[in-house]
Amino acid sequence: MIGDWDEHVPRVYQFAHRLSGNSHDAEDITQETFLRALRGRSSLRNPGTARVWLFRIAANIWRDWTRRRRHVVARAGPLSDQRSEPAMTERTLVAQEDLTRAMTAMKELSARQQQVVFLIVCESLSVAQAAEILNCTTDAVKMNLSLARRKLRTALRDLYEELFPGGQGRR
Amino acid sequence: MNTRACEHLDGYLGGWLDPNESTVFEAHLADCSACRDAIAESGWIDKLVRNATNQLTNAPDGLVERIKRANRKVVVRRRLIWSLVSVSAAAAIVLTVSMWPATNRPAAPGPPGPLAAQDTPTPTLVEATAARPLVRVTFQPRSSVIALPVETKNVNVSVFWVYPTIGERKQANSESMPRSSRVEPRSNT
Repeated sequence: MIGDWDEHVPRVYQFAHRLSGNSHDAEDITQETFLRALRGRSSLRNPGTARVWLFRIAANIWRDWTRRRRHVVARAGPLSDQRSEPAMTERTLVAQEDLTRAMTAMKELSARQQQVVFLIVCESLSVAQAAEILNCTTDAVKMNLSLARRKLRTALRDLYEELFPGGQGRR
Repeated sequence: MNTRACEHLDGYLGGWLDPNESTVFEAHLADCSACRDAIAESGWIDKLVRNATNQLTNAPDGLVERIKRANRKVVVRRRLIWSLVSVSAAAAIVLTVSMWPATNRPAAPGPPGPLAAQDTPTPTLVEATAARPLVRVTFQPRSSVIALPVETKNVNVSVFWVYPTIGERKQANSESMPRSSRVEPRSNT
């Protein structure tokens, strides 16, 4: 049924995770994304742009959800942190620690910065595509990306200097 | 070193510098170890973030299957709705076609006559009274007309086509002619 789009499920899920910050919502967003994609498949003129199109649907779903939930959250108070990462197996302890540090640094970014980093760094999309998906200007994307990079460099500097004493760029 | 060229670091990393700016910035990199470090560090961070995202944010097992199941339900429901719509449309067409001869049969050919008279009940003859005398039409003296009766369904109504004769027309024409052009009869003197 989702046929050609199977391969995009993990990436849409990852993007949904960047949007929502938890796996439960990420799963729901992913499922809803593919349902909407199925209903609106006629609007996808170029199958080559399916990934960007799916990301845009996911971002729209998340925007709708946050709009609807805003007043509920205001009444009920902040949600408890439901973030639960899947168990990791067969990884070296050092690599696992690095990845965890990177993920922690990512979570310190604002939601929009996380989304921009995901789309541009992880998905190699252009600034224009990211702006289209996130429904904002290219300048906003550039600004968020610049800020995110600086924050990530600051957060992970000790790890970098530990791994590359003296710096890679000076070699 | 911190020069104006260093300000293009974000643009270079983000890939939004134009080709000229990129060339200038790459020339600047040869002299600026701070920018070289920042680029190397960002490259490493990007890789780390990509790996972290891919490895720590795995889609849960069975998500693809769950999505497929949910979408299959939608497709089945949609097909069912379309089938019902198609069957209903076909039934409506069949019904319309089968009812057509009964509802739109043309009227049997018959003698032409006033349409209103066909639907009205047969009138009965009403005798003339003082309150409702007969309508009489009289023509002026010296009138020459031909009156042809037209058949009607109402026995109380008589309709005549009235045609003026040639003599009547000539008289009418001469009256409408201008006086100067009228031909007067010549007197014998």
